Amino acid sequence: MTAGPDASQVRELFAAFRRVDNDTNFFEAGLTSHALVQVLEGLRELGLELALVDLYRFPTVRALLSELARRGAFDGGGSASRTELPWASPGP
Amino acid sequence: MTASDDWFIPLADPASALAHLYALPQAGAGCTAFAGCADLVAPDLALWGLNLPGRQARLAEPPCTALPLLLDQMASVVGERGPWFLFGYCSGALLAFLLARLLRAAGRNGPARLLVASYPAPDLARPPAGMHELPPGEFWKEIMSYGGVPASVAAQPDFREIFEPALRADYQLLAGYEYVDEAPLDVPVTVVVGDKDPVLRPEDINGWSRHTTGPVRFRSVPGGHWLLDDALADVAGALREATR
Repeated sequence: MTAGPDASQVRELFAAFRRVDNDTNFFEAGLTSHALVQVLEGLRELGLELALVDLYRFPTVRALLSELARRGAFDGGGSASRTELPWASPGP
Repeated sequence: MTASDDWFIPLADPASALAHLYALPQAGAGCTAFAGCADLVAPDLALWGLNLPGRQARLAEPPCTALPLLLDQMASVVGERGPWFLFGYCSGALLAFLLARLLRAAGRNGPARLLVASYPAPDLARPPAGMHELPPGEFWKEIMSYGGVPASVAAQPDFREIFEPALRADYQLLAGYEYVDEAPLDVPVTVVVGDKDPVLRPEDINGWSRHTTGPVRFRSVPGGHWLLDDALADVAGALREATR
């Protein structure tokens, strides 16, 4: 059994674009959706399958790691969260 | 730093800045629209990006679709630090203009200069009235026809889910916009426009000079409509020059 990716590897993917600590909100750090898509590709290379919306719903390294742990995803699993925001309704 | 409900987010360290630039983005966008720009105008100029609810750092909050409410919120924050400037990009330019008018009406100090990019003069602006009510298919066809969305982002399966509420809210925000005649502002204005902007006519740009008694500068930069993508360095250069 090989060791999964660690927290610092995940953090580094974000920090390659903007200054990001464990509790920095990705958007307040200035990470654009374009940058986040590139982070997403890096996460996939680490074996972490996430959807873009996951980075919006868990927008700090700490929140994301915690969600990944909850999904048991440090071994690569996990699927996109489907929880609806309370105010989000589909268009007419 | 964790997510806050602050209306403006500093995208570079404001501590050593000589002046502050409050920046309002295009429809559907948030503070990150100005991240690249903030880097290029730092450290003398601290750029603060408008942090709207219903997106990005404030995704969990419902978006704001009431124009007077949004203007009041922005008015309560801008100018806390001085000297300060106001910059509006695309429809953010109209919001910036309306904010400057509101500050004047409230007897407050306005920005040292109003900077606008890629948008017609306020009396010629015609924000789409029914856009926010279009069914999703038509709505997205229209949005994608405007360009400005990176292909890698548009290719994400959850792309529409993430961006649709904020886009619809921002179109709703300006859907009822009608120009109201008032005395021109007295602040200097800089107008930045792409030399290949496919939608702006010369009169749209020149019309800004009717809206101030102060000096007006026009800066044409090489690019189309989405100047923060096409001509970021030129826009940042224009911002630096205009805020000296």
